[in-house]
Amino acid sequence: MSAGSALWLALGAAATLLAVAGEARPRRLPRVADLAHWWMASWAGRVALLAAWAEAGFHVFTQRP
Amino acid sequence: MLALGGACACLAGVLRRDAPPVRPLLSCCVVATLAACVVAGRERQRSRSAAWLVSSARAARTPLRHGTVGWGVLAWVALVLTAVASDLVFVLVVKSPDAPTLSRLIGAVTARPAGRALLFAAWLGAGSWIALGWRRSPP
Repeated sequence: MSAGSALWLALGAAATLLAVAGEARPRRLPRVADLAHWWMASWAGRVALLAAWAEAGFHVFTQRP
Repeated sequence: MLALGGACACLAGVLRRDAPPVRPLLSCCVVATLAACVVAGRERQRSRSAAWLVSSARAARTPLRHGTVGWGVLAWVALVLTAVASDLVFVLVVKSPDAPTLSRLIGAVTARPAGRALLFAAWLGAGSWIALGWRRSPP
């Protein structure tokens, strides 16, 4: 396994750990849904999220890796 | 709406990345999602944009005043920044054809029609949730 692949695995594991910890202790750690809800509370945050979503879609489904 | 989304996902799975209908399909999905967001969200936001910006800036200046929740948010920010920085290093510094960039990792999923269709469906689902979710009850 290359160092780069190991890095992505570690980042994925850390994200999973944070997400699970947030679900297990919702009053002490932010859940993923809480973070998204903070962005979605106003038009400004929601539009920013949608812009990032749209850009991600075009990048993933139309650009060559 | 679910059937339409499923049909779009199937179509995206069948089409190649550089096929002519891909960009119009994506554009239609984005425009429809934005329109649904505006129509469904009139007078139903939980906070005004100005107040949200002010409170967010205040919280960002002193994240550790919010206890472990602040630490958790900082951890997520660090994770995202590390992922972005790593991808930039792989793309701009390493420049090897074997470098595990995010595009290459995701490309392994979108190379197959089924993976492409599933990822497109997940992308549509995420967009629908962002556009329609977490709102106050209708006035």
